[in-house]
Amino acid sequence: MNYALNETQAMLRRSIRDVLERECPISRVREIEASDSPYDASLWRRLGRLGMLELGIVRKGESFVDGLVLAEELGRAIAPIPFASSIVASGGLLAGSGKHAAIFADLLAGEIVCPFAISDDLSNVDPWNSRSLAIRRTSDVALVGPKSFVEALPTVGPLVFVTKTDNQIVRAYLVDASLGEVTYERTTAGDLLGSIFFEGALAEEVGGRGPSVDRVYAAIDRARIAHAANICGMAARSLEMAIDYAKTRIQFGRPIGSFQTLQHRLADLTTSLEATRFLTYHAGWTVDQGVDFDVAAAMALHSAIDVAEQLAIETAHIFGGYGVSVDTDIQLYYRRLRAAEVRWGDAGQLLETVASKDLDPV
Amino acid sequence: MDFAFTPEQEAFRREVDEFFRRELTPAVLAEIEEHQARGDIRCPTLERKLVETGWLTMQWPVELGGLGRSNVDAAIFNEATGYYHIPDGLWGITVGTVGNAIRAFGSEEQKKKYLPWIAKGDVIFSQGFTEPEAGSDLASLKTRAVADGDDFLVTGQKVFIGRAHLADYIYLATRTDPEAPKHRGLTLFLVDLKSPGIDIRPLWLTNGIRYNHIFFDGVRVPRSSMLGELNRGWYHMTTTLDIERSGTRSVGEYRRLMEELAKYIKRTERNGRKLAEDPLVRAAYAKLAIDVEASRLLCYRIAWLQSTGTIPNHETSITSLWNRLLGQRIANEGLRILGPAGQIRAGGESAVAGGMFEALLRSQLTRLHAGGTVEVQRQVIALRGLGLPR
Repeated sequence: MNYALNETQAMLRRSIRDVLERECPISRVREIEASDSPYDASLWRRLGRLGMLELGIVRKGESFVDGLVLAEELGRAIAPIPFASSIVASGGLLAGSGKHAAIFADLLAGEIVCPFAISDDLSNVDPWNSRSLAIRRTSDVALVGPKSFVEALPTVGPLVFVTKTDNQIVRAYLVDASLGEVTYERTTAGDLLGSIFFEGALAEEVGGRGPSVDRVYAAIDRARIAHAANICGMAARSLEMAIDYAKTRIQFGRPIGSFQTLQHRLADLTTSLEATRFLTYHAGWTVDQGVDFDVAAAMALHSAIDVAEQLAIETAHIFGGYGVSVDTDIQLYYRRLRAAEVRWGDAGQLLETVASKDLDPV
Repeated sequence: MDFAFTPEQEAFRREVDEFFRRELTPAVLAEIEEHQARGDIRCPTLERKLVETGWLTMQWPVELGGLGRSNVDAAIFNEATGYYHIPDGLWGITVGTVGNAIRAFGSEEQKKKYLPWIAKGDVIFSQGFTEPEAGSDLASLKTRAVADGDDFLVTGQKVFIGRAHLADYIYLATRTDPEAPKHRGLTLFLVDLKSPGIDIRPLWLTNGIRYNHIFFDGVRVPRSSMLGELNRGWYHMTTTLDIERSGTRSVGEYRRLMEELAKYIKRTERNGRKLAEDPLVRAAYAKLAIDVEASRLLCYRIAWLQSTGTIPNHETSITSLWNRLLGQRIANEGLRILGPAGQIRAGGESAVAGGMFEALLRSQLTRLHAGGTVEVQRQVIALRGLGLPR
């Protein structure tokens, strides 16, 4: 039993933090936000070359928890890169697929991203209800329909497209973005989410014969856990900034952090974040045990969503007017925490997974 | 990070579980109920069996009557006592607070006298700290102990003292130096409750448990009863408060409540619909389940920290705060899900799970203040944990 990071993980965290302090300072975050890039390609490549991106891939003898350490640090730095979607979700489905080994290698090297396209206006991380369709013909598959809310979607390059087939099965496909029409939407967080529309684009099942729906959902659940860790990192840094401000901001002749109301609110936020962090790492550990982790993932992410909302608001609020001033950094965290609440499925879906385990017949 | 029990810990967990399943016979349950009806949290038959296992003092070294077991094992045992609702009146304060205080700063004579006694389950202590004017502001307590030759004469009043009417001794906090700053004039004594001048009167709480007022009128207490150093009582008290339980008893209680809630939801129909199919009920249940799982992780984290030789500090307050507030949410959501049956006491035909949820309504507030209010927990987190300024 060990409720702390082991020595290797602690070293990993320190080295990732050092890299990100150098390669992803706040100024870089602001730069990407002001640009038309859907992600920071040079940071992505740098992390790929350092061998860090592959921490998000589950491999025999290695721990997914190491990937959570990276995800958490990426959150602390609000690094504008698609770790959960491109690596954990898409990469998780590409892994072990001999046919796509070259793409997988480029992905882990940070040469390319591989966006994870699953949602549309009718379905939120719920391919059973997707608008799109995969039409299976004698020797190939054609994708028809839209995807929205896709992170880090370049106009060219491979992406994973999760949809229902014409015989009502959920499958994941690899397809090139250039075969579709890509448009972008700016979010609260400041990033660009992509929409893509295919009208019969030729695609390949990921993994050759294609992973079963269980594998697709396992990839989604691992991404959820990574996303929860990312939220923990953003929240922790937000909280730190608020505490530092409360110690130094003087009003009525004393630091505002000496007022009991703020002390109690910060204590409550610290407590909630601690709970979420352990639920998240426990979920990552559960992945390593080789047992079902859908409930653990749902618990981790739902808890992270609640924490994101509460902590984003209260930490920004401690800055008063400065909390909504674009010159202050806290609002960068606030906007990213809020958007993070809705990136990996409806909160209700997550509660359903938890409820079903105890309340439905086996 | 590793959240697994070792095979030995898992085996111990099964052993404890089997023990309680076996020993909670109808006769034992009836005995528990009988004592409960008198406001007492005792079960003499089960207590004797527990003393035989050695589990009550399991963390003590073998030479002191213990088993040399780890904090994690103790946490596993405590979780089971919560799950099975085992009355802990015999050992709650006696072992955890007083026994550990005697081990930490008792004299050799006191250790020789009391520790074997405690290990054998032959003595009960109550804790005499709180006064009518000294609750959260405990250091302002006024009960005086005045030196008189080789003895002290104790005069004052304590309130909300659990099990004093069942106990042999009281672990008493007194003021021995009224001139000193309040934290520096306190002294602890182990007072024989049979001493002349002690008047114990019942104080009943809404949870049905009998607490007490205790009046001390010139009670003669020998110097040898002093525990620790003169005027160093506050520092002794706060050290023992820091060696707190990990809170896994609550985890066991909450897990049990959730199991009963799930059973109720699965078997109940209301207003033409199965509760198990009601999305609002499912969502409310799931939120509690997530928070109970978080509670389990937070509590075992404390046990793990203790097992590494670290004395957890604000981490304990974080865990305590989470548990105390979660208890309110379980009681409140439970009531809403149970509907009118939720208000029916044990014995009524409509009572659910033996009145388990109804009883929470009358006990839940205690979790907000017993052993330090939630406000105090937040202060500890803020000041000691986050370094916020006073």
